[in-house]
Amino acid sequence: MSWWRSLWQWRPWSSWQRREADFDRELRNHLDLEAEGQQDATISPEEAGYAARRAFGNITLVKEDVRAIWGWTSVEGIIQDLRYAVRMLGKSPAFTAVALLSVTLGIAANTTVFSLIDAMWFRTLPVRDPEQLIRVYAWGLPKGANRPGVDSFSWPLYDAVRRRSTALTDLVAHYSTAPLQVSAGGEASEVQGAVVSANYFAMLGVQPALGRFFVPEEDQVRGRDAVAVISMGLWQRRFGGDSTVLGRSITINGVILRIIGIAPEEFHGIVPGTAANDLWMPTMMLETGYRWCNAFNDDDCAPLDVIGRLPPGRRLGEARAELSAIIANADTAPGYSGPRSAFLDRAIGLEQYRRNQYTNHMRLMAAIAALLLILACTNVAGLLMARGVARHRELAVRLSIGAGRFRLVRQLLTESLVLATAGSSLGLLLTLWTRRLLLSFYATNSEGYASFYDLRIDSLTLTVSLALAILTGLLFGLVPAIQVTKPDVALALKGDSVSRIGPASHVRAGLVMAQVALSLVMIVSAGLLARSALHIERDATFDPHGVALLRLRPKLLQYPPAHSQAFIKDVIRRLDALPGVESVTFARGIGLVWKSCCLAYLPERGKEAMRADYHVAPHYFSTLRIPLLAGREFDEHDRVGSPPVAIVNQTLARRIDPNGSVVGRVFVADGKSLQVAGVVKDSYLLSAADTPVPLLYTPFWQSPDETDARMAIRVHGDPRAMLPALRHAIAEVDPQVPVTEQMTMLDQVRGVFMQARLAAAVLLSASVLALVLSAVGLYGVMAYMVGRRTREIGVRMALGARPASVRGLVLKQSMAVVAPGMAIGVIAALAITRLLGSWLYGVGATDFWTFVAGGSVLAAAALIASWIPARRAARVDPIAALRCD
Amino acid sequence: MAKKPPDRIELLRGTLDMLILRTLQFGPAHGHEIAKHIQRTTEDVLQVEHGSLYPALHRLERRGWLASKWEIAKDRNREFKYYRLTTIGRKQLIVQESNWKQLAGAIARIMWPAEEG
Repeated sequence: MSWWRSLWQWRPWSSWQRREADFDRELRNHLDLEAEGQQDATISPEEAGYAARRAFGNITLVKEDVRAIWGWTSVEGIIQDLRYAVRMLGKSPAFTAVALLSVTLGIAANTTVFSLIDAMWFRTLPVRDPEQLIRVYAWGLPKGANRPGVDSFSWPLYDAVRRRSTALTDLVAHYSTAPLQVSAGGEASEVQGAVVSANYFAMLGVQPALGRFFVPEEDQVRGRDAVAVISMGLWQRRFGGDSTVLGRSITINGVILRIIGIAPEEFHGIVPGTAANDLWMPTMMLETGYRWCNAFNDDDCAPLDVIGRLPPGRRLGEARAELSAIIANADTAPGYSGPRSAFLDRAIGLEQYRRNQYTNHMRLMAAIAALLLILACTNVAGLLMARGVARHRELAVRLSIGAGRFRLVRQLLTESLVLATAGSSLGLLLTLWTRRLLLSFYATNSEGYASFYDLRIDSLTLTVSLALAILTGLLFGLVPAIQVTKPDVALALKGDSVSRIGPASHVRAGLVMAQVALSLVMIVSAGLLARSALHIERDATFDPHGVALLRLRPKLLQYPPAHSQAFIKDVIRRLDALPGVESVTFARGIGLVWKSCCLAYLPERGKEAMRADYHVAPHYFSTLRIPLLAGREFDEHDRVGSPPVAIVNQTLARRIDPNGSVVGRVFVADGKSLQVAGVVKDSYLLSAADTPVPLLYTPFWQSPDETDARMAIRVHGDPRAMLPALRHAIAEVDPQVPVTEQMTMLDQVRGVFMQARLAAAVLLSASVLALVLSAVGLYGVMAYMVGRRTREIGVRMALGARPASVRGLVLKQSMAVVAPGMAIGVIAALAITRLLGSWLYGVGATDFWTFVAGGSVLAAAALIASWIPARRAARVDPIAALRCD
Repeated sequence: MAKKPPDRIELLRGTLDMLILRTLQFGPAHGHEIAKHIQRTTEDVLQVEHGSLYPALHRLERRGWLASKWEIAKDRNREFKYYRLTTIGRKQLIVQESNWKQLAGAIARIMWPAEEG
């Protein structure tokens, strides 16, 4: 580790070592010469040596004088403090272990969360001069949106920006989330690829591992140069690392491309937080990678993201003004209403809109981590205080024989800092494991794509954890250090160990009260989130268990709708016949649990919005086990030409007619007359922050343009094990059609509700930790209290107090700390759990029973923690207690 | 913790500094040579305690009046730490010398007033 070496070679440190050695040598030289001179007489060399030393004087004193001249005594003092601190910590291993564990867990939690925040907010891309990189967006009203926001670029707009901009250089266009169906060597699979302008690699300063990257000529004529660069990973997986792969062809979405180069291993593309790129092709091949609209002719078709460099010395505001002007003046077709200005953002962390969705989440996690650290600190502070009181006499003796108070505080602080540093180092080690754990929640999204994050521990993370270590050391060390060195020497020397509830005890009681309150907040929050997470998987209004999902994308191959629909029908027939399959259904490419889609209106109610456009096939509700409340499901007769029908959910049914039955009623939505065929239960998972959503389902087969489908297949047994068989059956119908997002529905649900689940998991483990920490803290206070009052208890028992009443005395004292703590905790929890609203499903933010259960768990832990000292108090032998001191 | 030396040494120290500077005017020398030189030239009247020489040398080095270098001695195959005067050291020697002369003169005028007249 290089930082360790550089610390060792730190100048004052090494020059100190050198000077010390130098002076030793100088002294030796002197003594040798002197001895030589003395030896001329008739004495032995040994005696000559002694004579030389005598002539020299007090060698130790001289050494110390010389050191003082070079100012080494402060260094020595620190080393002395350190050695003393380590020795004292070694003397009480139980204290050290508990304190170390507290700090380790606190620091690990913070470093873990911070490394994720770092990756999402602060990390630059691993390319040349990453601090110059600027992400460029168009700003305005994207097509289909009702609010202004950032948008990407159509090809002509990118071309205009690239040609005219002088403020930004090296403007690169990229579409980095292209789903590509790759066939090579008779095997087809989907990878995430990127369509990029020819200057992409050169601008990033990335060198090919093999072959070459694109040249400008390959990106000038639409569809002419079918060339591709593949990733090291794809090269290894699909071609076994064969170096003759250059020049070979690879089929991408049905188009044959020639491989010209291989990207280096560590390069995954430039959009962290999405799937790693496995293949790159030039923008002129965009029609192969992007099939939804034509970005060359249609101004509203904007798949291209733009990134460029801001040369040193240029200002971002200048560039924004220039680009806004270019976009505003770009040639567009009449009727264009899209973006008319620019939005620029430095390429640090994830893209702004991508990371914004994690903002609340990271805030919560950072808050929890900070709370844990505070809990750990208060715990260690409490322990240190107890220890300081136990060392009261030692400290008093040192004070009385003339040690400065500052010197003692410094000594005690050194101990805390040693604890903090050791704990932080362990915490950092632990982080290597916890980061992976945390990342597993983010690693795949709800569509089954693996995302990449750059999670190396970099200098920023290291600095932050180091700063935290010092801060915590000071935090939990300073108050006890000042507290226990208060110079009431006379009292301590007199051997006063009778019950003296000094200010230190009040501070400690306050700390424990705070711990209890914090723990209750955490336990209640964790309880709410855990119940919510269970609700998501168990009591969902649809049944995600035993369902396999697949997405068919004939559109990637540009199949005409008729062809696609015939293909889908074939697939359904084939899958239905498969052993183990219970039922098959599908819906249009929205996803089965997607939260938002399109808006439609019920005209007779004015501009009342509802979510619609769930085009679903027959057996949809029975396959997902969404209860049908009235009417019927769609069937094969609901096709083009038959009367348009719809199924509504309860909420919409109530909107249409709050009282009567709505089946058979005709209503108008989005300009179309629809007859209600059935009513289903609200299957939408609502968080405590949501309001019920009116939903409208229409038959898939009544939309002649539908080509892609997300299939849901209910099977007997494990759906994951069925996936290969299902895929095989589809390949028998048509091996070319891309089949993506193969996963179990449970996995998808977990992906969609990742944030709520992660919050539950994090809070649950944090609250267990908090519970343990506060129990330890309470135990410490009570054990200390009993220890201090041993004599008083002895007197009480000698005067006839029964063990039970002594126990009661101790328990009463502990409840005097716990009860107010819990009261504060309940009030705080009531305020705080509201913030969790959007992650709570099936449970309210102030759920009574969760509060009761959380309180009970905490009370039980508190009882156990104070029971042990109470029992010890009840066993005090009056004679022994009175005889001691 | 550094200990405060008694006053007697403080007085001697100033003198010792001047003697060291003066000795080094003849050229670079190591610690033992300096001690021996002072002893010899005063015909052993001034017995410099060798131990007090080194703190003085290091203090002068720290102030920048002396510079030091490890060099092999001419007469033996061994490296010694040679001290030499720096430019600041030379100037200091002149200052200290004139201070000393003034002091010695003043004391002389008190001690032997008759001789002055």
